[in-house]
Amino acid sequence: MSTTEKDLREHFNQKYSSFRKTLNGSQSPKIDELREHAINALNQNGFPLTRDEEYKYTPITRALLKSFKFTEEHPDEITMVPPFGEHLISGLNGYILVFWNGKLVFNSGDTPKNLSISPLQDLSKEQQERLSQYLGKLVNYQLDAYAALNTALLNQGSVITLKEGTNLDQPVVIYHLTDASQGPVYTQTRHLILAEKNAKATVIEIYKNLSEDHQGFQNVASEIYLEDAAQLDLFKIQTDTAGALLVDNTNIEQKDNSQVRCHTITTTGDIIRNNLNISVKGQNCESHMNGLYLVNGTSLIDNHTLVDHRMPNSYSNELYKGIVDDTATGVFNGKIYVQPDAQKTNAFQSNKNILLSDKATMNTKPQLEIWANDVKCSHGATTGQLDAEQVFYLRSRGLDEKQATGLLLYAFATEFLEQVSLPVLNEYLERIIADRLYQLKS
Amino acid sequence: MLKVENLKASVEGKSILNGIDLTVNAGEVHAIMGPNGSGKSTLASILAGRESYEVTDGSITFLNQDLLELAPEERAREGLFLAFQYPVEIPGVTTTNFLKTAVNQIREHRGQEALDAVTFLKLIKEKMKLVKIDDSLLSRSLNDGFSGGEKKRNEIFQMAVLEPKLAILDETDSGLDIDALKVVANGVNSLRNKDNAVVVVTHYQRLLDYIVPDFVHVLYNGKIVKSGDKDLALKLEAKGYDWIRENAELAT
Repeated sequence: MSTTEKDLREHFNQKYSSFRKTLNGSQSPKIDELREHAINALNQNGFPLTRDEEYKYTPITRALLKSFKFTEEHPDEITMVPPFGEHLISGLNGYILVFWNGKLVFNSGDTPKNLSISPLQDLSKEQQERLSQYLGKLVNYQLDAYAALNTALLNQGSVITLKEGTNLDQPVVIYHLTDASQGPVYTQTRHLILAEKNAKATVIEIYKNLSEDHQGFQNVASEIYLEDAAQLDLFKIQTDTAGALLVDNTNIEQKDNSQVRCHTITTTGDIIRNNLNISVKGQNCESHMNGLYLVNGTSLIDNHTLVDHRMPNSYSNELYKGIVDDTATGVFNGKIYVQPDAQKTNAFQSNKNILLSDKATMNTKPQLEIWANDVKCSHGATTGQLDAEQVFYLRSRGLDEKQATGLLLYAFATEFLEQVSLPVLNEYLERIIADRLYQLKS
Repeated sequence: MLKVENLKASVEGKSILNGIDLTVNAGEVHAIMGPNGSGKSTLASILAGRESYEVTDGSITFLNQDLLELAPEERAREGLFLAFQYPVEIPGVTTTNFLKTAVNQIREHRGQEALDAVTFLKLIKEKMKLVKIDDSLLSRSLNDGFSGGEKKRNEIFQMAVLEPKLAILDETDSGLDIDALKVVANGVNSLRNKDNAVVVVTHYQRLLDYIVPDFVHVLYNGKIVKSGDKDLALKLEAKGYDWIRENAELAT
């Protein structure tokens, strides 16, 4: 029996109904209302197919219909804490949260006074009520069906609050682990980060797909609020995600003088879609988007980014680089909006790609929409092969072809690391990039 | 050391070299001069192994091997070096970084042990003085944002580190002011000995005041039409290439 998009919606509607019963009115009516709005939006808009402009190159819904046997979905109770330790990055210390198939299984706790990390599902009705002014305000469930699904089933996740003036000594590290060894699994988590005035922190999200026995589908969404002069370094590490279907929706709002640096690296996965949306609602803000994808096989990696400049005098800079091999596909869509009030905006965007095979594909689309008249904006996109002249130069010095191309690819890729200041993470990613390039054929 | 016989080559079906004969022995400096489009750089590129040229006839022997059978890196490991006319910019790769791999490839080929980091750095320091190049340049991305003079000095610096048996300098003088020219020439001269050879490809006589050639060859229309000693270069400077053109046309 073939399944259709309607069947998929049906499945998640059932999931939604039974989930709501378990809540049994224990939750804030406002949050409950949000869920209701979200499921309605999902039902109205449906899951995106490739005729949907935003998912034109990314058939994730079709992949779900084909390979995610949701009728056989494994019950998601976790009776005992699974052995997650081996999946943590060694040496990467911090305030650690581990989600296993969407359930919080570890919280290192012991946070300093100026940091609070609360499991989303443990919040009291009153706390939920208070946070309802943030939840669902940035994640646009009308525009993205997967964001709607995440919002409808909103339950597990975290609320991370950085108090005014905090300068966090260690990063917050969130592991999103999907284990489909026992059957197909749908996992989702929801995160809310509130950085108060002058708070400064690093948050590292690590996505892993632990088993390819069955299909794992991971759907993560987060809302991040940066108050005046807050600074956040945000990492998305998708390097152990072979076989994964993954959608990430990250939505950031910036107030005056705040700075955000987002670093997204992807090296594996069946289909991975990252939506990174930054809404610049303050002046003198900085928004940096740093991306790298190194994919081969039949992987598809899609990065959709949006910077929405709504106020004057801010700066955004985006550099996404990719190496695509075999029959893999890369997708980059970079939107920059400069609203009428956002005079004196400086916005830059660059997407550079190297294709290593004749059958590799890259779809890149810069999309600048500018309504203000006194701005500096630029964008550029290149897709090509390694420069033959550079290869010849290195060979003429005694390096063989493999060494020459390896060195050039390494130099191309490691520009990403220039913005990664945490040494343990820099070393970890450097090793991953080197290993990955070794696997990609030269 | 190098024997080029009746070398003919073309690019995209267009014939560029029309039968070159050239013999270079150890300890010699040869200058190849000629007007624009005469085939000077093509000859240099073919010697180094650039693939965009098609050799249609003739042979090149280098240290008793068929040079045309060797890949560019094998030629480099055998001791051939090309100082590029237009050194390529390579963002993200520093000179020190790739040169260490290059040195050790060449050493491995010669049956020598790889240099460790300390010995390599010592070698680098020593050679840096030769061409008055400083640390900061070597730790920057290769040729990225270098001035014309810095690029050419970096080429000679690499030559100093790799110690080739045959160095081909392809218009290394172009774009250099007189001070930079002297630095480059001094670098080359201090590397000369009885076991190696240099081929200087140039348009002007100027460089040859500083790197004094044993032989001067004039290339015209893909052929060596005149050979002589260093006085030939002076004569060319005085009379211009038209003198060669007229002679060459008379001969045909």
